[in-house]
Amino acid sequence: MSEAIGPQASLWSCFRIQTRVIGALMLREMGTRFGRDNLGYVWLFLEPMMLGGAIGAIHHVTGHSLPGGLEPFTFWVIGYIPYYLFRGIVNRAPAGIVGNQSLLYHRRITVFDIMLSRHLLEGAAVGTALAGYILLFGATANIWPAEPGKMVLGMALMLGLSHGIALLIAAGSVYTELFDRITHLATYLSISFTGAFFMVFWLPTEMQKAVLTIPTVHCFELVRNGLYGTLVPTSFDIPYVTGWVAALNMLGMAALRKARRHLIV
Amino acid sequence: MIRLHDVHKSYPTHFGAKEVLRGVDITFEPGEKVGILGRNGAGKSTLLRLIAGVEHPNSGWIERRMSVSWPLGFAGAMHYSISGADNARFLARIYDKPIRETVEFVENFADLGHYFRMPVRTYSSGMIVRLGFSLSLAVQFDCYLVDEAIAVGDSRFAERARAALADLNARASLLLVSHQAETVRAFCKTAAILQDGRLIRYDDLDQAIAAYQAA
Amino acid sequence: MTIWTKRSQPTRLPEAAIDPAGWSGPVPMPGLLVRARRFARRNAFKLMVLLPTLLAAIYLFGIAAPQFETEARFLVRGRSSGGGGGAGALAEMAQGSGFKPASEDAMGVRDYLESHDAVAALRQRVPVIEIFRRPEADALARLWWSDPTAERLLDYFKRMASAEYDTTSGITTLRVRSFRSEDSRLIAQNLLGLSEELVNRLNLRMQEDGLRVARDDVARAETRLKTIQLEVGRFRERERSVDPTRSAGLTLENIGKLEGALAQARADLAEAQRFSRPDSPSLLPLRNKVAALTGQVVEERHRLGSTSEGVSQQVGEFERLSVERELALSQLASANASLERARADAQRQQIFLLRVVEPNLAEYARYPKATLTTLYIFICLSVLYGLAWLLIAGMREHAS
Repeated sequence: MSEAIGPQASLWSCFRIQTRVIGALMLREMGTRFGRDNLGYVWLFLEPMMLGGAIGAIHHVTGHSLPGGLEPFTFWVIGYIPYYLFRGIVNRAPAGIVGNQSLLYHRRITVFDIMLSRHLLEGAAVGTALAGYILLFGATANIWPAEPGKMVLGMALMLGLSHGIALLIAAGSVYTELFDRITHLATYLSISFTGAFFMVFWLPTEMQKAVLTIPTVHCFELVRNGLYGTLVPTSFDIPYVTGWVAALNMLGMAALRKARRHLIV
Repeated sequence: MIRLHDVHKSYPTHFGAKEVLRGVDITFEPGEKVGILGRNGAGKSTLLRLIAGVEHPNSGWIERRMSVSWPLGFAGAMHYSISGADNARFLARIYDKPIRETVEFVENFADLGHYFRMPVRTYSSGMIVRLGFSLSLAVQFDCYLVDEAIAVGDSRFAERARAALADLNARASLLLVSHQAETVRAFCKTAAILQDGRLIRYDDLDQAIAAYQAA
Repeated sequence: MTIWTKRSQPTRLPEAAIDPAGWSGPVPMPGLLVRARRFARRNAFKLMVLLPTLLAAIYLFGIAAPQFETEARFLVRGRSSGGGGGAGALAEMAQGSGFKPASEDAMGVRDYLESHDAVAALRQRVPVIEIFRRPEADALARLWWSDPTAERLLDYFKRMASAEYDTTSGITTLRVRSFRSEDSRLIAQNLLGLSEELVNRLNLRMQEDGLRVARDDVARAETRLKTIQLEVGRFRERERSVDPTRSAGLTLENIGKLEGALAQARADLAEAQRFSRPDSPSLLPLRNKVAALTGQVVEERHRLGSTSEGVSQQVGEFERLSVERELALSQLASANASLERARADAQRQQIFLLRVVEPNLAEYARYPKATLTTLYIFICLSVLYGLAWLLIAGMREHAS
């Protein structure tokens, strides 16, 4: 006889079950994605670290100097790692429901739980990778983040945006395979728009205004502001991004609820 | 108590929507052991999945006032890339059960030997059924949704499963779907017949079986 | 399109409580808190979205005082557009595509306009607090304190006035809002005046900095020239000679002339001795002349020789002094030239504040934007409500 959980259960107990479920899903995701072979869980954050490092190293060696006298290695790493978070979450979104249908046999596990646990895990991995690089920058080049809180906030907003978009894509892929086909192309094309590899102040004013309508740009600028401080001018609008996050998440959750009713397991 | 209110379910096909359930209204009280009889393709498994909450009805709604297991005897409900032990651990976390005891119980009951520590994808279908059934027993539900596949057969495990199902305490409910009247007779006190998308409840088991065989 | 509705839970009472006659037992009146919670749950949308929107609408349409905005535009620019510091290939590339490095001066003016410095200076010219606490201002939008701290005033000021710099055109736009259009214009005009003063101060500072070095150079060259001139004067006084080189030259010239005359006299004597006897009286004067000249030459040479050390020393000293004087003179000339150049540079680098658009007198209160703001509040609250509803509904799914 399991604990008496019925429609009358308090919201608090429901919340506790949900957090437990999400925790269990994160552990399982770690197990299934990285297994227990050789390095195992270390791959979780080693992967983004290696990719970010490779991109940074390539640009460091080719030696393009950047406006504002920024160190190319730090700039590319700091741009690539949040982008990796975005791309990782969005690219995996179409398979989010289909690949985990067997979990839906357990009524306690909702589609939202599955998506959220995957994204939180991704966020934790990328966050660890970023923290690793920050320590590396600090130890080697003595570049310590000016405002670590802003970096965390930037990453959190990025996670929120990616999460909302991924929910929409996952819901859409229940209806059509189109999303599966297009998502990779779209994220690849989005590299130039997301703001990962340019700074707003490099652009003329009209371009700046256009670019600042893209919410991810604000996240990258926020992360850079956290690292470089006042070394370079950054422009971001936290309420604007928060609005995007709220709207995307609302639409995503609503779409997911609707899709769940149509889902054939 | 589980109550279905005017449940409709249809699946889209290339030839338009196929209606599987057309208005099912039924109540299962706690402790009831009900057999659901239906021909192949009558929608038995669809009904179980709807009751389990794996899929949602197109219209109508399902009220659950007790904990309901996932549909046992089907594939699914388990993770194929991780081992049986890991599955047990995962479900223990999900359903808030003590992890070590759960793993031990499943290991003993499923009797999978060294396969218990190997990925589920290496299992035979019989082993998967054994693991799934053991897991559900470990979680302890108020109501078990069982496909006949578990109860039939003549292996040692089928005997134990039969014993376990017969042993379920008086409070636990059992919903057994089958196309064989004998299976239902072995486990259930009452029965219902699923036909043409509707479920007809009979209070008397013999009457139900007679009606089923006549149809 | 399908419309989905939320299915409510059955409102039936628990079956156990129903007696065979169909009547439930006496149900106690639920407590006030329970009733309030039930009411809140049933009217969640109305309470959380419609009511706040309604309140905001009542305030914005009914109570809020009109605010008048004035706008002024100005340019901050120098006479020459000095290129920004070399920022590398990318910047050059960007420059090719119409990218202009932001002018620090304009940014400086913009930052000044939003600083406590500007507010403090403005307070001395205009009754800022009074303006923001006009009787017609509504209680919510006006400045809440009659004697605010500098920080609070600055926060409020920043809400009511803004300066925006456009990197492409280089134009800074100043916008000021207040409850009277004359007030807005007054503040804007004073802010423009303050900006002009700031620019002038900056110019003065820059000019001073640039010229000071050049002026110092000139002064140093002048003092050097003066000391050398003094030394030359002292030298002349001491040696009683205007120019020792010239006097030495004169002695040598004398000796040359004497020797010339001596040679002539000897030649004359030799010629006369050929035609006369050696004791002829006509030779005597010639002999005397030769002897006299010889004596003279010896004497002159002796004089030159005896004082030769003194004279050459004098000459060396004098030559050193004159070289130094030459150097000091050219140094002064070049210092003067660079001062001229610095002056010209300072002239060229001067920045100006050009008023493009004068502050206008608003005829129509553009703020508060009631309809837009109400709509915005409604949308925001709806999104928040939707999110909360979805999250809670998602949580509740874990209950079964």
